[in-house]
Amino acid sequence: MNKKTLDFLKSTAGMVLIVTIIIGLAVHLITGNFYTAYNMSTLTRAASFIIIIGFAQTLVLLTGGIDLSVASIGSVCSMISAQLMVNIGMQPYVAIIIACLLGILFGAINGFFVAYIKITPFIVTLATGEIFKGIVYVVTKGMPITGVPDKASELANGFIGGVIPNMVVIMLIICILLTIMLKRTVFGRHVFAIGGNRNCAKIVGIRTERVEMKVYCLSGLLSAIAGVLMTCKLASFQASIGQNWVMPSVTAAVLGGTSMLGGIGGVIGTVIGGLLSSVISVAVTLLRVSSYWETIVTGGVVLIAVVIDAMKENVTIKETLKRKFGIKIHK
Amino acid sequence: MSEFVIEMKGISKSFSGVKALNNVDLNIKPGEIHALLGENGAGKSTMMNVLTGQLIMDDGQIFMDGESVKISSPKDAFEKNIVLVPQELNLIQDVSIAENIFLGNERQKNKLVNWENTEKEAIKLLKLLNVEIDVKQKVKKLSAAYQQLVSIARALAYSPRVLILDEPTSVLTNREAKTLFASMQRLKKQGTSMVFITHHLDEVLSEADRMTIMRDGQFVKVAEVKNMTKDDIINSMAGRTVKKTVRVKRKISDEVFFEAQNLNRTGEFEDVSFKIYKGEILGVAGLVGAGRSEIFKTVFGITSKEPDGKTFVDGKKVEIRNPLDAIKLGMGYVSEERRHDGITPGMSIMENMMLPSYDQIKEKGLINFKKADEITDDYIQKFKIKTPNREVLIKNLSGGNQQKVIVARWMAKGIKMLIMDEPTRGIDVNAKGEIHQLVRELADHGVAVVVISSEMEEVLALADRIMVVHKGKIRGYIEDVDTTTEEDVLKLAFQ
Repeated sequence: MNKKTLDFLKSTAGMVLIVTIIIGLAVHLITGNFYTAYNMSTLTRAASFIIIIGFAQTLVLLTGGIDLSVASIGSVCSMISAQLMVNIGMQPYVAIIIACLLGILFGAINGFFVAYIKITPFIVTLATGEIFKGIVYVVTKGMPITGVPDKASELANGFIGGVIPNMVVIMLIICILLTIMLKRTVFGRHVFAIGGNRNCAKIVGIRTERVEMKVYCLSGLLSAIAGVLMTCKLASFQASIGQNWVMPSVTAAVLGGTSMLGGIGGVIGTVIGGLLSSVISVAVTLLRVSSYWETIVTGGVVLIAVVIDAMKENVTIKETLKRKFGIKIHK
Repeated sequence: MSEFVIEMKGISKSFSGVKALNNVDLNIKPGEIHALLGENGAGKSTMMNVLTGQLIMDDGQIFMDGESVKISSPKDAFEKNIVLVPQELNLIQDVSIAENIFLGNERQKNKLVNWENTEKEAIKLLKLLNVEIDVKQKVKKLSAAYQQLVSIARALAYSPRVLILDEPTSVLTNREAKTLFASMQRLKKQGTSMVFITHHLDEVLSEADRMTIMRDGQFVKVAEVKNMTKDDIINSMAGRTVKKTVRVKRKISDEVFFEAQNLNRTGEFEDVSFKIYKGEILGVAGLVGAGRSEIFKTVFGITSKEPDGKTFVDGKKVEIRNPLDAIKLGMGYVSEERRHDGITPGMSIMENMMLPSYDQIKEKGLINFKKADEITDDYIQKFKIKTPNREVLIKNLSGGNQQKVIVARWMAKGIKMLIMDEPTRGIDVNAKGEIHQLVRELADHGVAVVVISSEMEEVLALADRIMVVHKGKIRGYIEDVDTTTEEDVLKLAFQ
């Protein structure tokens, strides 16, 4: 095995991937229907939504911020796309694109307050998130919007070559684009630099405000994509779309090795983190365990993952463990 | 009864296979100031971390008053009245001085914090250091020097028998350092033993009683200060004879690169005008807090000037509103706080070096990392940066090597003027010489270099011209540096 592969397996994302596969194997051994074509297809399709929202969160976390409005932006844009398609009768693809682009605008509102007015991202996005959520309820009164055209529904429910779900392909394309952006473009490296040390970033001439603004816009765009595609998948708008997306988005990013402090991580890890969350959820179903256990298991896994991560980095914890139990952790 | 308060015998400690300490001894007598010397990475801090229970030694023994003791946590050390004043100021900025002093060691009455007592005792402790300030004000209002004294007062609150001072003077001016030394001598008379870690050998010679010298994690020698000269110490620390940085006379062009006219920033400096020539090393001397750093932070666009000030580059009037403007005009900046502003610790050497230059090496929107790698390797070799390879995270390098990466960062960018604030703070003797050499080479290539330094020796060794700043004003220049002494500079500052 070459060094790069080995390094990857030792990283948080690598370990999470191994855990994901092991859980899958265990469930398959017990129930016999985990690694089936049907299950894989359902699982990855469901996971794709969480992963795309996770991408949005990852970008913001990389700058050292957090975006608590991802779910609400997804929901607002989802509603807008449904309104455009159903009530205005707009051509589905045009409606989808407009709704997604509006996500950039909503993200820009966050970006403006965070980057230029210098308010803590947690507070800004908490507030805007509540506002977007409220707008959805005011406009729809909580009622669904049904009758989304087949063309739109096909986009999220279709398969390429009858095998690979469109959703998975869309997610992977976004993943590749974001990876190139983060790793190979100046903007991408500046995102890491800001999260790594904002003071240093300023001194080397990075326009920190502008970079941050763009990151929140991107986060808005990605949230919108997830929300709009969810409308397509359900062929209707539901007020519940995205309601529970905030925590999973953070979970996927963190399980994928993205640091809450910024500067460390990436979107490939988020794919893996998102998969693990979905695998846990499917496992709970297949094993006929009450679904109320799902969040307990996910929460536990996240705790274990971040604790291991912290121990790899933290000299004091290493010393304490050595002192108390004689355990040595090597990096 | 033993002759020593503390005896550390045969201490060894490894970090993932690398021996940081190998069979090191350290003995401290009651009521002495014991200098612990060695270059960066010699193992001084590791040794002190073992003594204060922050690290567990792999091998060795510690005796206190002749009896074997076990120090396996910071709490053990406190209980034995062994207290460390760390080099990094770790005060909470938004909390009062008094509260900072008793943080984690609160004065209580019926399980509640007794504020009256806290303040009274804080005043008493500060008095031991000859400091009289309002202890109710927030720490952030204090200068670095006073913050250092507050840190020491915090240590004194544990009524230490052994007080460890890690580079206590690195942020102090000479005068402030003298106050500190007076306090140290007073503590010594009261029977407190002190371990004094410093890079300033003059301080050792004037203040310490004995010294232990370490090199590469090994014990080199213990000696009475009166039996050692400065050269003896340097040679034992380095393990070879070190060449002194000597002044080199250089030819400078008479073309002005940068000019400032009437720069102002209320409360920081006023009416500052100066010129910097191409290929010149301009030394900026003055006490800490004189406004030296502030002037050049404004020049680089980190802080903004008041509107009546003017700046010129190559004779053309320019507006510098932020660092990016300054960089575009060909300037670079090396901050005095390397960890805070200089490096991005979680990034590799390559990224730290190339960060401002990515725009220059991108092709079709993507960064050409092959080129970035080549440039980095080139500088690693040229600047003798000690690292296995360019992918190592910069936080794992020694201070001297980090500083070289930062200088290389600006060289790679192709700058015409470099502002260096305290370029060798906390950097060991050898690396210091190498960085001085780099500064000279830069200037030889026509780069205008500004060296702001509290170390008069450094300014005198490097500068072609010295600008003396005091209380926010330029007090004058020294053109003929060769015949100048530290006293001349101070005289100019205080006249």
